[in-house]
Amino acid sequence: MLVNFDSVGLVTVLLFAAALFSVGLYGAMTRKAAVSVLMSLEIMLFAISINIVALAQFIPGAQMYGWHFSLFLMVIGAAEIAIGLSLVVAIYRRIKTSDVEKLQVLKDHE
Amino acid sequence: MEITATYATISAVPQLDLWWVLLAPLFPLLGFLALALLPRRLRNDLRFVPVVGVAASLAIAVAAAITIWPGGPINESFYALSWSLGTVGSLPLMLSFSVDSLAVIMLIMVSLVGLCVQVYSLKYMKDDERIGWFFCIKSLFLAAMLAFVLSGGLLLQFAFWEVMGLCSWVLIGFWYKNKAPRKASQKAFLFTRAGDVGFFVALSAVFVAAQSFEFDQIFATAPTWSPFLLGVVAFGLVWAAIGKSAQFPLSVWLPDAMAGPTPGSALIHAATMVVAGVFMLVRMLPVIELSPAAMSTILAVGIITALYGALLACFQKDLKKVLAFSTISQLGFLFAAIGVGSAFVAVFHLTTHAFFKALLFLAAGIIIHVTGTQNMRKMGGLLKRMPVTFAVFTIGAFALAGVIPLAGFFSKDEIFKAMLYFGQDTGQYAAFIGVALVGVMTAFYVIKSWLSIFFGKPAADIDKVHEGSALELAPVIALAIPATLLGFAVIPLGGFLDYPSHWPPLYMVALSTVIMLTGALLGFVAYVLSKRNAPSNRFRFVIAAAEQRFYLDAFYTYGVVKPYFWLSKALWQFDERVIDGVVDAVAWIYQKASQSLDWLDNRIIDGVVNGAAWTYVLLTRLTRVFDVRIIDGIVNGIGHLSISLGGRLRTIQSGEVQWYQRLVVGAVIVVLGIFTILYAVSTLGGA
Repeated sequence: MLVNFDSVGLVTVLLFAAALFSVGLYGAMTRKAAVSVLMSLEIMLFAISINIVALAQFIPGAQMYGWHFSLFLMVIGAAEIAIGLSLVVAIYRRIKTSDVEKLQVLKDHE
Repeated sequence: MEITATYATISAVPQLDLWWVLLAPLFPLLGFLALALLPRRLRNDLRFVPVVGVAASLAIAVAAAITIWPGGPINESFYALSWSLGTVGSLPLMLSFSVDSLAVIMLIMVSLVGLCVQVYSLKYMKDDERIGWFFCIKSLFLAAMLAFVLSGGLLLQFAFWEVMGLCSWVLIGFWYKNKAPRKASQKAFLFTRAGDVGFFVALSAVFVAAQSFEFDQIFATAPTWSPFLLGVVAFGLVWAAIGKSAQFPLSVWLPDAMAGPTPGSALIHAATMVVAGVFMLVRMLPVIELSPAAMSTILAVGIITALYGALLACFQKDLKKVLAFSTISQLGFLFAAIGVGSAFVAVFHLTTHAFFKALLFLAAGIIIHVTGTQNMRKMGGLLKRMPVTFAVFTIGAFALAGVIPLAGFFSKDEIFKAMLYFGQDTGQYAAFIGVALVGVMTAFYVIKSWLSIFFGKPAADIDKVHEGSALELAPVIALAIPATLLGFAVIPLGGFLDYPSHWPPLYMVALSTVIMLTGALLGFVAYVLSKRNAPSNRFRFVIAAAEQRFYLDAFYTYGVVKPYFWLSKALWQFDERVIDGVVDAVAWIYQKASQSLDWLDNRIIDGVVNGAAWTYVLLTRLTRVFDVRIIDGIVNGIGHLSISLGGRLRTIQSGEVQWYQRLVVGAVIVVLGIFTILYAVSTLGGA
């Protein structure tokens, strides 16, 4: 069953996706907790997914490829978050915090 | 987006152009939007803005009532505004608002209670550093509740229902720095969410059955639905209402919700949001009525909840907890009234209850503020210290107990009458006996609490206690007016909802007064006994069971939460033992293989490598002289350059991932900016 939101318009959807992406980007850059950063990454990923679906819907001749691709993105997102979470757990075991601001081992200590 | 005002083709009521009624939810929403984005200091200073917003809503609601006078039947809309959101398959997805007599009654009730609570909070929450946010959230809640009662379809109703749930979560956990409010807010959110699953299932079934979420179409097609779909819809909605209106067995969240600020409890967890479930059932009664099983369930749930809440209220020492359990019990009454099909009785008691329970909560807030405790055993003798609070609290308490001629008497009488008629029709008097028992218990706990707060020996630090301020007392007194007089409006109110209501017959007056007096007398005796003797040990196990709230909370802890943890732990152990075991085994095999290769490496490969190395060393010594003189000079020059350059560049090497991320984003923005400028220049140049 296809949901037809033609009356909304492509630009509105793209603006919405851009707003969502910005929210995710802001979160990824500013949140302290590693899990929140991961969630922000997912928000960005799904903003992209919305873009793909919207373009597939509105651009004539695009057919269903965008839709398939968005499903594919979901699987990738799940895999990515699994890796991310396991990294968080590994980091937590090592330095007893998941605060990304505390992760400064790459810094040149002198 | 196409917006159309549609008029029902066949309708018993006149069609009016009431578009302005839809502004009622808009004003509190504007109040929320205006404040939400401001910085905290400014927001705190502008806290009167939402108060003005809800005052405007009240004015609109009253104007609407005057315009549609003399009212009409429930669900017959005077005005509807609908628009299409798009299509689902080939079906239009419609959303709509509609104005009927029931919605107008609710508008007045919600905005009046909301206005009183907002004014009260101006003083009550004055010292809180986040008072602006408190007003903001309550304003959003009021907008959602007003829009909820105006919704013309289940889907829109569900949306506002969820917004209210969100506001409730924020307000319970308002003092989120303490553990108890935090846990209580999570509990309330999860329990109401458990109920919302029912709403969601019912929504799906409604769309399958009626092919629309609009009430008109639902009611028109409901008689032709298959029994299965009808059952799913009816029971889904009943389950949702059980969650929202804190009925048994999902009632456990409401007492804990008292951890929030008292004005929030008064507005959301006593007067308005918790009756949303009941309101939704009244709206959908034409559908639910078609399923006798659902109706019996509502009746049974209502009676059980009323008994459960009233019984527990008798054992509470905490003033707010008494009011919370009393709310659960009174909501049970509303369910029972719906269960016997009396929509008007439910709406009538819902309205009177909203006024006197909000009054009780606000008066209790004043008492809690001046005495600094919620424990009624530490109060006492407040009568002389705060006579005005005493007077209004007495009105609220007596209305709750059902003392003639206060509002609660008339509405409770209607419920007794409905149960008695139900008994006469079906020969089953269990429901009537149940509500009569609840009536006795209600009078019992009300009188006992009332006596122990205001009479008897004063508490030790009574000198500090003084009357509440005028700004706090004014809204409470305003609520006392409907709590006193609304009962006399039973006939006009019935007429407004097109229901043939009558004055209570004399034998009902006598019966309910006897019920009330029995409870009051028992309450007086219990109060006197508790003052004279130490509490008896004989009923220790009953008190212990009541303190555990009859183990309903324990059931959820041990029946749901703990098993979940056990399952998680078992899975963790599986991971630890089995999966890790396999990994360790692979590592062990790998280690053994490496050791044997190591032996090979030492004996044979190393010999070859050493020989080659000796040769190489000899050659190297020859080239060293050239290297030190010339090559090193160049290399050192480059090295010094790199060190001085690196010393500057490494300040950006902070080691923080997010710092790098900001650099990358900044770089992307710069590059995009350059491209945009180039593109603009080339376009303009081309033109």
